[in-house]
Amino acid sequence: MKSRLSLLLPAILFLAIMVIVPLSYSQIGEVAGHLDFSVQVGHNETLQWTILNFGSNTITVSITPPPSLQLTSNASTANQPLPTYSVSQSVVVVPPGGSKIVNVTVTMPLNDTPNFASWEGILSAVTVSNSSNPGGANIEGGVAKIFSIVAVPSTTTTIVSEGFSLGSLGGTTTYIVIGALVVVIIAIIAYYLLKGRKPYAKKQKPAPAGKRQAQKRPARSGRRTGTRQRGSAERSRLARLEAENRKLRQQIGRGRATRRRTRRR
Amino acid sequence: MTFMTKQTGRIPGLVLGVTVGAAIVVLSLLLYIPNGNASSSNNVIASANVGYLCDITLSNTAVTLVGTGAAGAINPGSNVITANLVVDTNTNGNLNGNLIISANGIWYQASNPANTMLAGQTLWNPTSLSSAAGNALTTSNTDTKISVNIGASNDIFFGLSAVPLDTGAGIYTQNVVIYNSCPSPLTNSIVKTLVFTANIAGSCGTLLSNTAITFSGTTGIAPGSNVDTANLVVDTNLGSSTTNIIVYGSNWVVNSGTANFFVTNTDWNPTSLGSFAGNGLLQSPGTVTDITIAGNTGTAVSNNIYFGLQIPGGTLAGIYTQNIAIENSC
Repeated sequence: MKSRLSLLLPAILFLAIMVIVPLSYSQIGEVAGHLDFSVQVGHNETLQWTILNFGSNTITVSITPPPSLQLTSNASTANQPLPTYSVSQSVVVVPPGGSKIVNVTVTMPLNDTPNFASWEGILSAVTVSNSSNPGGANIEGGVAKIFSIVAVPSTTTTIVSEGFSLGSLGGTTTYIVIGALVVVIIAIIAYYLLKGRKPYAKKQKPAPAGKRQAQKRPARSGRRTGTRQRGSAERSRLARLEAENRKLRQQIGRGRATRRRTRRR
Repeated sequence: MTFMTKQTGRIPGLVLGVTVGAAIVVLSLLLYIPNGNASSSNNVIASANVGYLCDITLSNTAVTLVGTGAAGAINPGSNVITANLVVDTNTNGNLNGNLIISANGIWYQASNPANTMLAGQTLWNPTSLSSAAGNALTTSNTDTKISVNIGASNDIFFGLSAVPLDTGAGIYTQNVVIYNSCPSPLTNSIVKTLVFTANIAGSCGTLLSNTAITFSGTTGIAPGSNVDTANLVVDTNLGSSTTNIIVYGSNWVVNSGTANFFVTNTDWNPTSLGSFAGNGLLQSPGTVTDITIAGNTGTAVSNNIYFGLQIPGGTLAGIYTQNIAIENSC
């Protein structure tokens, strides 16, 4: 007996039992047309996928995004972060003869190059089977929606927050912001530099009227000097004159001291 | 002489009096004679018999029903709320009347006469509604009870009830006759035509012939053996647009325990094969096959897909199960 069983056993190695076939079949459908996403870099876009129920019974549908996207262009994806995608619901209940809308959202990273790479994915909507199947293949009916993604230039300056770090700098918008900051900083520095020269101008008290006339700037041929504002060249010339005056006064002072000493002798 | 003198004085007065009297008589005759008779030789008698008119002027003679689908298309299963306004004005009429409407036929598609929608898909109502409700249009004259008095205006609103799921895609047109009623037996009404347009989106659907496949019955399959790629599943397209079949599956998993073998041990093919051959089944998102199914244009269209199986050598005994998804995509 045992030997007969041992001979029969190898033959009974795989068993697929006739499954229980449910009496009703789901009649799931969808509205025709691909979902074509043209997403601005740093932004997201949402399109609608409409699930239909052609049957006379309510159906429960499981919505599954694709596990990954497929590249459909010849572009190199180096430094091209993948867009992310999501669906608004993972399960929808569709009444008989009715429809339900599933929102599909794609987010494009800020660093993607517009009109460069393109991707494709397949969304799946399958009716949830309530059949009991101890073996064999369960066949599930469903519908699928192919969607495509391409990045386009951003038309606004709004940036989807991705965190800020020096290592992640990139993109046209970021460079514009940095450039603007540099210009502002330079302007502030220049302002304070110019302001710092003002005390020098304050020390130069206007000369009395008579001397002012003597110090009148010589007229330049063919050019009127009506303005009172003195440029840096003028300030330099005055500084030189002051220095010379101080030397002369010192020399004069020394000369007087020498004459005094000579006289005392 | 005196008498004659007196007589002579009286004669001029008498002549004056007679003259004045005659003038008065002549003038009186001229004033009191009827114009017709007096001027029968110079005036024209004009007369006019003004009849009754039931007039109608419409604010617009074309109505485009817009849905929530792509480019304003109306998705199958969706409707258009009864809020599309047409104003009826009794501009030149001299009778009060009621607005009468009727559908001059069904919705039709000029590019494909096979695609039609019922006339009653069109809804009307005296007031604007926030849903697709109201009265279904018929091909008979319907008194809307919307009164349009002389020189006045009134509103009528239109919508569309839910579009049947298998409606063919494309632009549909319906002509609606509209006029203001005249009291019987007067029938002098100006009649206008409203042209309705609706762009219907396409659809596709999946109906499978069976929800399971048995590969071996109750006898079992030995490891290293195959099952021909001849196990049929019929896929019927319920919608109006052509669809491609996408197929994928899961690994075979034993009901108790952890043993399994790969999904690729299941093959699929558009035609029945006398051996285990064809295309290996893949996991999700699967394979977009070349198997297409035309849209439903009155008769549902089907296509076939066949499956086979091989058992890898050394597979442990047990009851294994696999899930296969067959999806139509349009």
